[in-house]
Amino acid sequence: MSEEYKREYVFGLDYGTSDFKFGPIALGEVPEVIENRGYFIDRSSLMSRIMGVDREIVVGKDIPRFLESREDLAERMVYPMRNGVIAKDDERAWRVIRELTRYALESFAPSDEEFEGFYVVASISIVSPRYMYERLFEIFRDLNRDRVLVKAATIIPQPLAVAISQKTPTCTVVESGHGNTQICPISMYPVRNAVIALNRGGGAANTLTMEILKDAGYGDLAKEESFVRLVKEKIGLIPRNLDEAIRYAKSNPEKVRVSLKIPGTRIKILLDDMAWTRFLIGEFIFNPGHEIFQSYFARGMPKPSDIKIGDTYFYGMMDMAEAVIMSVERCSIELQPHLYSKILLSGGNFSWSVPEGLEGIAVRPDEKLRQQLLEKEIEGANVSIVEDPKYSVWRGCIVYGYAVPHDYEWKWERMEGWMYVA
Amino acid sequence: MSEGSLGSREIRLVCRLQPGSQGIDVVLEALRAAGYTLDGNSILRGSLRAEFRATSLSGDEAMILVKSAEPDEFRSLLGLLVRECWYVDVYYHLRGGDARAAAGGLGIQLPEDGVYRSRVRFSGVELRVDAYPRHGALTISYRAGWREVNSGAALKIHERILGMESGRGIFDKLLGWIR
Ligand SMILES: Nc1ncnc2c1ncn2[C@@H]1O[C@H](COP(=O)(O)OP(=O)(O)OP(=O)(O)O)[C@@H](O)[C@H]1O
Ligand SMILES: [Mg+2]
Repeated sequence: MSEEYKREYVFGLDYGTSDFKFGPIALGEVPEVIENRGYFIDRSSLMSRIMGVDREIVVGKDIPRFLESREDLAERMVYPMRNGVIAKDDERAWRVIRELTRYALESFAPSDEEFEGFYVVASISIVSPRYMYERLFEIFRDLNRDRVLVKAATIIPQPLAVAISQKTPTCTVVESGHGNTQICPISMYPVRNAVIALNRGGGAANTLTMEILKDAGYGDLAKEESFVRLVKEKIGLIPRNLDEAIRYAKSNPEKVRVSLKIPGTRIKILLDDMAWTRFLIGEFIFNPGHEIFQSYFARGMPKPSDIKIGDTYFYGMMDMAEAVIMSVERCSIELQPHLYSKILLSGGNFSWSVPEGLEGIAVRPDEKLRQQLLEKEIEGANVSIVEDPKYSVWRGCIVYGYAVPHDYEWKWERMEGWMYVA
Repeated sequence: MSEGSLGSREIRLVCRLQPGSQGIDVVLEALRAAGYTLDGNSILRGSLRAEFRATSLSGDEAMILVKSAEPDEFRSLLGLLVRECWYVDVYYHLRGGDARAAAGGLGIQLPEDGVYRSRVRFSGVELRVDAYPRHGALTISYRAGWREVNSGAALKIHERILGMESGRGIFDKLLGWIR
């Protein structure tokens, strides 16, 4: 009986650096998505008192309604997972995570008596230190004080969730979202000492898009991140080979030229003789070390930097293929060919497509990486993009929760099983 | 995959295997014998595209996602599954406009917010309704056995929920319960 209960109430939470994906198994294949951020309301302000605002943090679709036009907006808006990892003592970030989690669970919790809490499967970055697991369990336990929302919980690393969603026990997962990229070989379990993390994801491409917009005369618009992101997704292209693509663009301007109208506004963007820069956006994701980017860095565009968070080193400028090779080569020689033969690309940063008419010049991310690997003498690599790459982590959470029996209890040594918190 | 007000729809079949059976193999064999092509996790035949999504570790259940199918292909897959399995739970996951249309088609009045659960009868079968108006999401499910498929109820439910009968579209206007 409890097994049936569990299967009905599996709930997935994917804490991404920019987007938080959540929802119960009852949603099918597509989760709800809100930004992974929270806004701290100034409760001492006169207006918030007059309006009777009783909350301190707002998350989700409500945020825009509470934004005060203030200087300290940036300070009050907290993106808790910006780096993928939350510092142990970053209390504001943890409070936002708690609020997001509550928002997600409450909005799907039925109010009838049959409901005894969800079986929650949360997914966080593979480089998350153990205290993040402890802290999340604590949040689940603590949320139950007001109302029981979580019956049991478990936490899995994002690349493992991807492998699960694809039912692939041996593979190399490249998970690239907004803030960073995780490369993780998997052989039943993640091979932890082979993990390579890059300090860049879709966000880095936004930075470059911003510069491109400025150069094209749209400097004012380039300040708003969500706008820049939209432009990036609409105009960015991954070149098969950057130099060739630029040459092509310059001799076939009509094929590459682009104009874009922003829905709901009067804003229109036109890239004409600068249309070749579209290829830079895609190249930057795979190979920010290409010499062409030097001029942008020289003019002040921030360079993805090497950083150390906790015990993990995040590389800034390493190219994608190099990172995959480095990761695979940390595994046993016997395993290596199997890891190359199943490379899975997942995360929103691999959602790029090829517009009609540009086939062969622009490529999809899987082809780009295969090409890059080939240049480094890795032949026969098999690279594929998972279906709906933005949702694969969440889907893996659902499949995992569905499959793990309810009486399989959490063990810290193995980091698996259900932790009962109700 | 479409989202938002345009709507989206998915069908998930959760097959409960016969107690004491040899797991999913029997079902796979039956699918092959009936002319389905099994390729990796995919199940293909005619207009039908489906996929094995998960199996419980205890091996008593398997989850199949139906990605697209003409109604009769769907009926015939379901017919095969209920023969080989103990029973099959059929879930329709709908979003946005598709959710609105299905709710209208079944005469369900949904609230503006909160989580709504109830049961309705249609074609002699009890349907379970789970709605999340805030997220524009609706799930309708029922337990299918040999009887539900043979009586034609499964097909009627399918067509009503997915609005494949005539007259679809008027309900969109009647119920503005989402966003
Ligand atoms: N169609 C698209 N083309 C290009 N980029 C896209 C597309 N759709 C989404 N992205 C990019 O994907 C990124 C978001 O991906 P995702 O939701 O996987 O990130 P996340 O999970 O929040 O972050 P992370 O996995 O790093 O923690 C954004 O940078 C976004 O611009
Ligand atoms: Mg992610």
